[in-house]
Amino acid sequence: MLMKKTTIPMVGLSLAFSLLLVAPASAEDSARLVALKKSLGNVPALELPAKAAKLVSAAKAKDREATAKLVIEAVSSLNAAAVPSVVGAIASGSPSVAGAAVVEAVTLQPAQASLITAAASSSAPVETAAAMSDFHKTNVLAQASVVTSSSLASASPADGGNRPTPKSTRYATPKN
Amino acid sequence: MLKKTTILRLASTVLLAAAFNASAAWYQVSFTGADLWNASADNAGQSRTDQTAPRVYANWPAEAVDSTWVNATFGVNNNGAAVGFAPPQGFAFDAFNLWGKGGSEAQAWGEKYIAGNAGNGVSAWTLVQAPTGWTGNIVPSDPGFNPGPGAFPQWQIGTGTAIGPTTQNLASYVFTYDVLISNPLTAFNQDGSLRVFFGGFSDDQNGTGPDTMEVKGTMNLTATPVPEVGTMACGAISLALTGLFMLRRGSKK
Repeated sequence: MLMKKTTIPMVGLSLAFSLLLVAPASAEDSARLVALKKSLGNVPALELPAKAAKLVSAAKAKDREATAKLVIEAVSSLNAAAVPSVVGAIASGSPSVAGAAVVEAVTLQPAQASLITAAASSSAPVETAAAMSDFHKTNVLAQASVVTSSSLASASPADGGNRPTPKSTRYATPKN
Repeated sequence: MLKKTTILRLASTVLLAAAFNASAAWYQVSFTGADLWNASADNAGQSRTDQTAPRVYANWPAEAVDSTWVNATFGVNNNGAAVGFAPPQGFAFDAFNLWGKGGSEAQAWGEKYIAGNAGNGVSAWTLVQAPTGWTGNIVPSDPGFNPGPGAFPQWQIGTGTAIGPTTQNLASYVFTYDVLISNPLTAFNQDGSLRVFFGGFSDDQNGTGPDTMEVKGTMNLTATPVPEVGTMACGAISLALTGLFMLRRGSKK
């Protein structure tokens, strides 16, 4: 008996589900990634956001963030242009992982940072803002370590010493 | 056809409504280094919104790696000191920002005001005053850096003095700004004060504190209404029209 064309992707997707739900969180990420790429590779581009969001929301709460990252990595390698809409769909379906999804996506596709954050912020504005603030802080921190050693040398030992380095590249959000 | 008196009456009513019932309104707010840093009498068993001036801090490098806060309770230091929310000396703010963008996280801190969000949000803020050597700017809504609608102000040290818990004369470090509050009916505390979220960064200055700290908290501040020129003009015209109307009535009698 011949299977319908739509059945094949669905079977693949189900297999991916099984892998995501059964595999231990700390192991076999590469195998899960391969399975995800295989299953998502059969999904039409227009349906990718919805499928990706479904995969993430179906994962156990403790695995959801890791799943979101893997899904974004898979989509990034399969269809980079779809990453912003996929992140938007994941943020909408699972706001708790929106921040992690944004950071993963921006890391993989830095040229699309604006599109990615815009897509996510419509569903999870505070989480997205906090994630981007953290993202900038991390980047600034790596660059600032060189500056800090020289600027500290001229700092007063008491509170109130003159500090030369503006910190306009980072900010705090109400998110804990 | 409408009588002249009716037209005058209608005009004055409409103008009065425009002058005094506008939803968004400008307020001027000032705070000092003392508002930022004075230790509060926080209670770890209470929620953020029940406390006077809750604060929380994180070791920034640690947070950058795993987002784990040094202290997840509010205002209570777990870094060895008996009181306060952070080591009482050894670091100071060299940059901080306000919020005013709303959202559930801001509400969790008890911040209820929303700065008007026209365009990129910059027009909702005007910086009026900063301590000597400090500079301020408005961070606009920007998908790549400040996602979502709304802007917020931030200040940073330039050639000035960092503001820490043991800085001399904390109250003399005055920051003043105007903010267009879009929801004045619900923005304020019951006592009329405005709870304002802030967050900022401080760096180790004498080797005794963490290398880099991020501190977040709230201040309960006084917000004074700033009458807009247009609103004042509306009020003046409407009062003039009302006076004219009463004079005409009086002369007819």
